[in-house]
Amino acid sequence: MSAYQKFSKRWGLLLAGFSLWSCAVFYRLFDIQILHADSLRARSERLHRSEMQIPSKRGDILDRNGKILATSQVQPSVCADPSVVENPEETARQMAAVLGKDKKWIRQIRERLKDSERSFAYVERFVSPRQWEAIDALGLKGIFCQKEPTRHYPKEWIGSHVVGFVSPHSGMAEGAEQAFEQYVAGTPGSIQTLRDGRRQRIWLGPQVIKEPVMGSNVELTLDENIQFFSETAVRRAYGITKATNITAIVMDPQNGAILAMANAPDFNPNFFGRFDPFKRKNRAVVDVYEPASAFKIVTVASAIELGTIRWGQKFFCEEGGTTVYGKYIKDNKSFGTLTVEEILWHSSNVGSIKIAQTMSPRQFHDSIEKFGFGERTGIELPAEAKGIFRPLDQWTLVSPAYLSIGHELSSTPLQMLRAASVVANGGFLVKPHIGKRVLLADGGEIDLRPQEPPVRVISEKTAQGMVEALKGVVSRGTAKHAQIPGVEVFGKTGTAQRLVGSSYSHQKFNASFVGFFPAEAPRYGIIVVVHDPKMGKVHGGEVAAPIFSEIGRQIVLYEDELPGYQRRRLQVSPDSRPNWPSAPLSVQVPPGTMPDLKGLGLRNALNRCSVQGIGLDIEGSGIVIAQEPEAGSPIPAGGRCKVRLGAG
Amino acid sequence: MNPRKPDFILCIPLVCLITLGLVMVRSASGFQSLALYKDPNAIFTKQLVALIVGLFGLLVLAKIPHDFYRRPAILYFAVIVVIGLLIGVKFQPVANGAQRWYYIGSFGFQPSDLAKVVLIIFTAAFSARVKGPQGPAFPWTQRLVPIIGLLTVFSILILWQPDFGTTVILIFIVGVMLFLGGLPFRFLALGGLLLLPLVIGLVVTEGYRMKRILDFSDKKEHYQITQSKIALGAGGLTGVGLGEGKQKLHYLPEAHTDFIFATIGEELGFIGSSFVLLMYLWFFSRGFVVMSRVESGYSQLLGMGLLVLLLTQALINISVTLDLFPNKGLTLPFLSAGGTSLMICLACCGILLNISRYQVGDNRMAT
Repeated sequence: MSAYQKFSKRWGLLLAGFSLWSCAVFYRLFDIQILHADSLRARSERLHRSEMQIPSKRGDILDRNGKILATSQVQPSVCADPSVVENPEETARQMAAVLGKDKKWIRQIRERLKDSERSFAYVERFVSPRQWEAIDALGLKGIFCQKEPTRHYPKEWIGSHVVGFVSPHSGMAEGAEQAFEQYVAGTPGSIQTLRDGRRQRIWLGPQVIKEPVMGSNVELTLDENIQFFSETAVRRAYGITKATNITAIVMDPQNGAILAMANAPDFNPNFFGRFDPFKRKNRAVVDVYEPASAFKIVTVASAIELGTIRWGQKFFCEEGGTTVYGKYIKDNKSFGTLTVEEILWHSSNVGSIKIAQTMSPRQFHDSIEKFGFGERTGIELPAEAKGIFRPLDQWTLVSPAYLSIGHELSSTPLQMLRAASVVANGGFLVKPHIGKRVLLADGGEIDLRPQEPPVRVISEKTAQGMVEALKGVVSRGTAKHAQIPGVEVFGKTGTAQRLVGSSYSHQKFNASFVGFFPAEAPRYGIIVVVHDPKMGKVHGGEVAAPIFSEIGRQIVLYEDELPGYQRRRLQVSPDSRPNWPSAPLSVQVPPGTMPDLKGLGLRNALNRCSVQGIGLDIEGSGIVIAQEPEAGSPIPAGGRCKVRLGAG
Repeated sequence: MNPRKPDFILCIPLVCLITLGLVMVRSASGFQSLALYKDPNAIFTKQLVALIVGLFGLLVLAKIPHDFYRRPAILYFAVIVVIGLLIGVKFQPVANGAQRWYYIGSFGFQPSDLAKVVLIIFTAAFSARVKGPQGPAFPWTQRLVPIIGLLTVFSILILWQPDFGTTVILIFIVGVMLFLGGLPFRFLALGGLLLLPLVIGLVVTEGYRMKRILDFSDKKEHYQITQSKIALGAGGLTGVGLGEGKQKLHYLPEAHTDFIFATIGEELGFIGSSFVLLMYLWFFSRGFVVMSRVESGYSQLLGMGLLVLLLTQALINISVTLDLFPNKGLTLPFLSAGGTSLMICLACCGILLNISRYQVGDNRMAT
């Protein structure tokens, strides 16, 4: 039994050893899993939890009539889970065939798909739904679709400089998209996902933590139709004049609401990346120019307001030029003696200088400042320039002379339009703005229009006198081309020699016209600036005024009730504004009755009518928005039909 | 003596462990499997095949009388095969800085796993060596020489791979078997003295091992071990639920092999992990009771050797997971994914079950 004893002792020792070890393990297990469970669980949470943003839907940007200028939509992006993709080469090749990509793309995607450590990679962002359907039909393993919001500008080029654009990824924004970011952006929500040890997201039933808040819609003061008229006119003139660029702004002079802001050349915000910065720039607010003769409005208004001159006062305007402190300033022709009104009509430089000389430099300086030069207008659009207007202590002896004819100072077209609006609205400096209101999701709204009352700059009497005088510029002066049939227009031309380097060029000019209508109660103020026209004609009255007139004519036709409009007009009922893309292109019309022309382009309308032997009297351009006789009524004797065309 | 039926109770913890192992391998390997083979079931399928083959092997080995292995022809053949495999593995590609594996298709095989079993059989056979039937035992010196000799050869070959952990286990098991086999105290003391500087020397000379010891001894956080502790802690008492574990998402290295215990702890909680530990202890203590009823000598030593091997491996693996031991890269018997490792463990069980058929009814020992 001694052997047994010995054995049993040793076996017991072994058992004791293992028992001790097991106890240590048990204790440790208890320690970790029960006593330290909470802190370790928290650590585990921190490791695995990952929050991902759900992009919020950006609000729409609308024109003043609620038409959509910018909207958001979801578009599919082709994504891949490389850890599941079976044959990267073949997968990439098949997708390239659908998407129409080259070999370089295949190589690139193949490499991306080969990285099987990853569980997410983009293949191609923002494909068309049809392309995604085609890829989906291939049944490729590990390829899936993710719908992401994109920005879409349904009116394409219309209002591009004002509406701007936004890049959903870089966050770069321009125009109203940037200005009203706080309203349209909304707040992104978040989803909880898992993150694996390689810092990759894993989609195991993600949980939504926070729902995204959709952005609000913003209504602009812009009118899509007026914008369309302006762009059409500007773009056409851009082709004819071969100018470097042309800007036109339409503003309500009473309150500063911008109705249109057009620049040529312009861009399509849906593909903003394809256009160079020059085309994307909203030169109506970021570029400055020397207003030249148009500035004489300010000079004369200042002097009348200060009482240093009175209407009808005569000035001797020399024989075609004058010397001021050694500088010779030329006039268009030898004017002789002119009244104040005539100085404006014929835009006499010498006359303006003499008027300016009736004021002290300080008076003149303060008055120009009151007209808003040298300070930003405060429009919501980004990167607004403030122009150059020297403080009084930097003036030279010739400064008043140069300033009186709109040189030695630069302003944006918008600043000039605002200053000219002072005479059109009875003497107030308005604040130009493009924001009308924010339409909140809950039905409420925020007024975006400036709340502070405009500042009075000149008396109403002075303003009325200016209007009377400026009417003559259009009726008998330099701007006869600015006339608009049916309404009375007043305004002022401007022709500036362009600064090339540090001296004025004799070949390059800026031609401008700023005008208002109807003269009884101005509702529309339009400034047109043509930079460096190359067609031989350079004068504002020959180059810019016709553009003004073209825009104005369209507006007059479009506007239903314009005070003082003197022509019989066709009535456009509100519901007859056609929605042209959905208008049927061919309808059967009972013989002997009028076809429905609404929504048709001019060519289609002519075509439709010629079939039935009807002649058309055409007003405006664009598409048919009204007709007389109405559709369905019998064709009148003589077979004539009046149609009004507009932007629809 | 006619063999009895194999011990049924020994099979209960075994069945529990392999069943749980299969489930946990599927849960823990899914992501890894997807990343490696593009199929979440690939590793699981291999494990299932290995289990079926292993269970078949277990049934066969339970039938083969274990005396068969002590036959010189069989034993020497096995020793030569193992030495050949251990040398041959040096011609295999390097994986993780060592050459430990043969790859047959997608199945990996570690010859050192086989070496452990062969060395246990060899040690059992030689320490119970007698002169003729019922003859007196050989003197201990004569019994020790071949055992220590083979241990030395195996140790050197395995250290060459290099695989320090397995070498330590080999020495430990042979020591335990000689201890149980009644080796006189003077030899044990001598052996202890001889091994002590060897162990210290190896630990000091091998830098990365030194680092592991240091990692363990100071409280600096080691990435793998930290992830393992996070997994266990996140599990808490009841676990996050089967398949719901997050640490296997590439946080825990080897979530389905070396660190499967951490995955079990995370998904099934303290309840699951202590269940596993209890199953090992039950298996060992039942085996211990069975061996105490077996005739002393070769059978008893062989059985104890195999039991100690399985329990030691299990405890070391769990201790590593719990940050009680430096990481040795050992698998958890019956649970870890790994075909040949599972098959060899099942083979050991087959031999144990065969030994259990030779219990002497009332020759019960005090335990």
